[in-house]
Amino acid sequence: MEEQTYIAHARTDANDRLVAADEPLAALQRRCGGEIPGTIAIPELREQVRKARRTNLRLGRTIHAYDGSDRIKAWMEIVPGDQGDSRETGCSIGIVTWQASPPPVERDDDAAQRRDAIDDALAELHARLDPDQRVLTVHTEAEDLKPLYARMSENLGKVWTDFVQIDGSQHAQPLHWRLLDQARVVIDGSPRNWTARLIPLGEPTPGSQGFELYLIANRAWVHRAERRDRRAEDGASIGRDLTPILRQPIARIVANAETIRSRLAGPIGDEYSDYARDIVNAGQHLLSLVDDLTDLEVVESDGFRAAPDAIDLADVAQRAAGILAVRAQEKRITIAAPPQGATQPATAEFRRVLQVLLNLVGNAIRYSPEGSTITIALGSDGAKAHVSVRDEGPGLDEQAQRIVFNKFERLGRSGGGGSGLGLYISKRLAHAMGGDLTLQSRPGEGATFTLSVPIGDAAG
Amino acid sequence: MTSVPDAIPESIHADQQVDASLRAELARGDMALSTLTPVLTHFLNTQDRSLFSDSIVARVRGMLRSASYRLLRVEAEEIGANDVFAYAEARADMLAEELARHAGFLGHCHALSIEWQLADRLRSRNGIDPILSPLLQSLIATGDAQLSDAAMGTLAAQARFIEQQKRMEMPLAELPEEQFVNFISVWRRQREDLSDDLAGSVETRIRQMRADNEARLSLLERTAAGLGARADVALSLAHAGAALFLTTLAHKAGQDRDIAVVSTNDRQLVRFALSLRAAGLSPAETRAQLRCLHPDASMPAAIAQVSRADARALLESSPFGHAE
Repeated sequence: MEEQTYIAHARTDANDRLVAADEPLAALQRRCGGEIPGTIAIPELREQVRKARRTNLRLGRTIHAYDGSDRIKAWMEIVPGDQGDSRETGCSIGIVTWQASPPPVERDDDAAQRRDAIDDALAELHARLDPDQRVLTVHTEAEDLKPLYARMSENLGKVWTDFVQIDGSQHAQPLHWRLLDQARVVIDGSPRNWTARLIPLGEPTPGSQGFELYLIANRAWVHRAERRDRRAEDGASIGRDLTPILRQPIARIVANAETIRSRLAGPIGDEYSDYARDIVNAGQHLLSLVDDLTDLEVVESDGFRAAPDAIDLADVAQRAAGILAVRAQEKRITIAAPPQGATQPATAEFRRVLQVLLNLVGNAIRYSPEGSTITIALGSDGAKAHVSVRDEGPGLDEQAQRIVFNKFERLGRSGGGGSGLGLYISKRLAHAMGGDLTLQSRPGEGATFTLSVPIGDAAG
Repeated sequence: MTSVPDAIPESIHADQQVDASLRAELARGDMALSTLTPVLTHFLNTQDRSLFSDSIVARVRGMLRSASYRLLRVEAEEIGANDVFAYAEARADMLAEELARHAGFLGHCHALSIEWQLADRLRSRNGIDPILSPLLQSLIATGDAQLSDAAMGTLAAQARFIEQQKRMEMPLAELPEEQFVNFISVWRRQREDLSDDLAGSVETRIRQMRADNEARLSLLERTAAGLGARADVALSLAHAGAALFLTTLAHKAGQDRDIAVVSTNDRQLVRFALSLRAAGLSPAETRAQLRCLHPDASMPAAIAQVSRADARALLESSPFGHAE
């Protein structure tokens, strides 16, 4: 039987922790809030890994997940450790297919309800307020909120804002609840930053029956010594240290702007809603930039090396086309991948080639007109095998072609996402595999990016 | 009732450990077989899945595990385990599984999750606040210091209850004494290896925790009792909220509160109506409460014709019909 080709590999240990993972699984793990090494943060995957390990049986499953912007559907094979008993060794995971598609559009009401439910579940302090925002009852089990709890429960009947400091507000409190909902809150005795949620009760006037107050912390309560230990292991790194710090405030900006955009906190003019949409887009762009910076750090590190293998470029190209098919369909763009049965042997690292192709095809989708075609073609000459991506977009002039592979180069584009790192990273990856990434283009006639890597055995 | 024999006759095999484990596994299978028919019959005969919905089953499972976990954490602390969380985590499933076999304890958890579901339904459908009902609000403001104190405590306890139910938790301090004793006995049976001293100090510490926090059910009873002759005002779901309503109903109809809770299900319409009559409501008032719970159902005509005493006698003739 033919050996299964995997897009990516990962390994877990005897405690179902993810100890090593290739992209795109590594990124998904991080976006789900996990670490590597760390407990598997993708719920369906964790369940299946546990099952495979306990039963010591190989499993193939479709895993569904949500990475914060896309719905992921991936077929994974989970193989219990081949050295003896998997209950002691953990499993290896092979990813066979990987599809990302935008999540279904949620009604604003549903989104708001879901957000409230999530905040309710995450809140570490719950209080019930009367219509004038005075505390009727309070409940918490958080260690660092004990002083606050004591002050509140000894002074029931006082306005809740008397017990906390509202960030950046000099106004006489309490303000109208809509202005206090989502406020940043500082609490004496707690080192954490908090967000307040006010959920109005009563119909038809919200708040006529009082409010639920939730306090949600910006991070879980971990003892400080533990946090220091983890940091002290080695020097700072963008991927490990900066990414989580940056992601969080940006995610909040996006979430809050989304709230304004969808007018959840009350009616506003259309132009303001449009401004908020711009903020959302800019925030999401920042998020993808942060992810790219993590990649950048990897490709620029001294120890970075590709792991070449005998692969078939036709196979990689077909997979890249499959993964991006849904996004292309949204713009009615056709991706013409090499036909079934085509083959172009090469010596390169499968997932790195895939990463480059995803970047190239993704760019092509972004900059091509609706209804156009993107062609992925194969070729070879002597020592090199090629795969090229041709679009019917506006093309690039000579000056743009000279600088397009530069770090952070976006060719003067401002909107539409993109960090200006994708092509730079792709070129670095091509070099690391002993190949290159080049561009042929004329303004008005589209662009063709060609990845060349060492050729493989013709026998393959 | 199940027809599972207490033990398979010893004569079949008595000497090997393998046999014992096989026999235990077989007994589990027997249990499943013997409950097959009643469970299936129930599902075939009812449209309403609310007694055994996924959400209820998940909530009950969560509560069993939560109670187990909380006890095991105290055990870990008494033993001096290095990592109390890991210690409790590793044993919680086993204890929860054992706890699920105790009918009384299981029934109590089930009733609490039904009560939460009812409160949540009344909130979304009838706009009845699950925490602060109009009656509770007026009792807090009342001049009677004792009653106002009980009402205030009830409010806080009810807020905690709603929160705990959302998180599928079962704090040990909230268990009624009877269920707490059941719980301790299940735990002692499973952890035979614990010394009496150790088990004793675990129990003492938990009892201390229980003494420090008055349970919601006891606060509700105190509030209902404080109403005295005016207790009828609590027999309105919309006015009193589900929690105080159910406590008062159980008390005045001489029913177990857990049974009163389950009687709000639409398969228990008659039991619910009879309880209201036994608690002293007129047929018209009974119909109003029934309609609040089941807008589509109509009250059986016979309910209007039974007297209060008849209603009580009828309830008492049922095996589930009276408080212990």
